[in-house]
Amino acid sequence: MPEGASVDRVHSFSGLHRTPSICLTFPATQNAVRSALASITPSLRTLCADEAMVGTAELVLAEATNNIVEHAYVEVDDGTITLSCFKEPGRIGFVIKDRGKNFPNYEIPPKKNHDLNAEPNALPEGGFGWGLIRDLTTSLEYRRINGQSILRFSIPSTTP
Amino acid sequence: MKMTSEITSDLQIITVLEKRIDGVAAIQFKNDVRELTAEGDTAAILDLSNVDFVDSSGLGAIVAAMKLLGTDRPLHLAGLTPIVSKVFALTRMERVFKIFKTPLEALKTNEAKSA
Repeated sequence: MPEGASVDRVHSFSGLHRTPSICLTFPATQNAVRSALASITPSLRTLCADEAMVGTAELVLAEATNNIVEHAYVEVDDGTITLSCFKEPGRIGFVIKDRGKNFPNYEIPPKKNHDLNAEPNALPEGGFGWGLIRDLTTSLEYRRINGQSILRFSIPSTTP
Repeated sequence: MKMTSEITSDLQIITVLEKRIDGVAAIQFKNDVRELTAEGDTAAILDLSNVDFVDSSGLGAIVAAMKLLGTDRPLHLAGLTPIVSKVFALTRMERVFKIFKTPLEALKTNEAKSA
């Protein structure tokens, strides 16, 4: 969606027309991400008594928000991240917003295909994050609206 | 970072006593492994049974720890909890390490002690 799209569509995409079950804004630092995850996982457990799903959600949220800390806000030291969760049938929907840099070409980075047969010293020590996010989420979408990055995805329940 | 180290004649067992190896803990983890393994010359087992969360930064730190030990001293893993196991499976890094159920299982086999 281009910058300045219609307000209705913006609100629909960013979840503003719904009341989130959980909504949290925190500073874009690794320590704040850790605290935010520690406060959100008990609430997720209350929303959905599915331990495997809560674990998956914690991992995906860690990857997505740490990516914002390390890349989107790389040149900014007072950035904030807003995280909203929506309980939906059979899944939990998440919306993560920041005002840092957009993704290159406004596209969610691909899963990297690492060469794991490389000699030990050439093995990768990073670049796993987007592969994990892509593997563990459904309906993964990104929009840049009025200078704000909005990442949206769902995590399905593991129990019927 | 809270870790303990037990050295036997042919294997070092490093037990992580923290619940998380994430972006906050990654550098400290690498430094502590470097320090704990500085003296020995055997293979090592990293016991992760107390760790319930590893993200991609933590995974990177574990790979870095393996490299620190050098090619003559393999680093194996033991006690992977569900989310940690999932991270190793999805990134296919489970193929890079020998993974044991428990450090005891690693001690019982000779597989862990050689490269």
